[in-house]
Amino acid sequence: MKINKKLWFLIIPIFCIALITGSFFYTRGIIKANEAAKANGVIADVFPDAVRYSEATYNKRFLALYLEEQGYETTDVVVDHVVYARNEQNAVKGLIVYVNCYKKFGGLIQMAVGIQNNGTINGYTILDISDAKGLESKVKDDDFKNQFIGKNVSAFVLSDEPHNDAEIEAPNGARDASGTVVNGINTAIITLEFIDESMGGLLE
Amino acid sequence: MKEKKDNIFRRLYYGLWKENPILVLCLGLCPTLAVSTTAAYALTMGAFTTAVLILTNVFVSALKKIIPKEQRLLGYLLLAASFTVAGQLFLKAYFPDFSEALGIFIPLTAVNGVIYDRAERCAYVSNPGLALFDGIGTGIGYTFIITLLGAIREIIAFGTIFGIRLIPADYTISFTALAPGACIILAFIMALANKIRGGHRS
Repeated sequence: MKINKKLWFLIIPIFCIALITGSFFYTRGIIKANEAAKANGVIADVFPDAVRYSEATYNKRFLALYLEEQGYETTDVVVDHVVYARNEQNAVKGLIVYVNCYKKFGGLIQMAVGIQNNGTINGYTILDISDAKGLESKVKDDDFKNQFIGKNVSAFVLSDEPHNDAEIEAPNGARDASGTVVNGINTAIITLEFIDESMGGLLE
Repeated sequence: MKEKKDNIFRRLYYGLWKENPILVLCLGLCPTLAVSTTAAYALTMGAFTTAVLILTNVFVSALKKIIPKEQRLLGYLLLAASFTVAGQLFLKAYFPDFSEALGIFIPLTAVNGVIYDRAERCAYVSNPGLALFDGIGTGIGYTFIITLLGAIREIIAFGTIFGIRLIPADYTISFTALAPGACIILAFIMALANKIRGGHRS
């Protein structure tokens, strides 16, 4: 059967549209379920002992100004949103702070930090990181994470030889990324202070 | 000299070794160097590229009678991009961790030089059967080299291979996880391949 070659402008685009549309509708449900599971996984990872969670309301502009006063410009860190982690009595046990941190030499780390009311770090999860594939795993390693968990300090700093709780040792080859993660966690500590103050000491 | 007849075994051999897309043709080096920091990522990237390559080859060959010669590149682009988008959605659905890890380099497969080279030099001028085996051979050749590169980089940079620790972390060299390290290691692999082949075929 002889096919008019001019029809190729119709046949191939229709095939391509059908393929992409079909793939989209077939995978849509699965992708949504994956994203929901990931979001729940993040929360469970950084605050496993809370029973319910709710979005915190606060003045983002004032928080940005407060962070600037502490030395964190919006070119360094931006708090995306904050979630209250609540216990069975619906009292706030702590916060999950979602932070976008900008690396010194370009790139972005998105992370979620779990912090209790008294300022003790519960943990953190890296949501997204723009770094050399493979190297980014160093700031996700338990060895690095465990340097923060369970500690209650006013601010963390990187150090070649840590002597106290506030000093963190950077993994080999990931100094920029680890410094950025430290900024993110310090931002979470400052955010807790801000929300506690702005809520009139509502947090326990 | 009698010209050798093109057949599926010849296509497989050429794709795997004689015209290996990375070692000989130097195509698709950007994703090769960027993604091959670990063996697992490299293998995933290789498998994804192979799938897109095979599908593009077969469909270009099957539709070559209706794709005008003057607009064949547009045809390759439409098909390669569509298969890449569809593949990306399936990867996101069934392997979300790898999809997230490979990031921008998955959609960039749509403009990988390997796909266009094989579409132009084989798929458009051959039957779908030959195009299929050309895609298989080239894809396996590409996947093997990128995985080898990823394995070497992972061992030197992290001391692991596919996540299994081989060398203590204190004895690793992170440099190979970065782009310059990738170039150096790939250069050594190419030099070794040329030595085995007995000199570079110009």
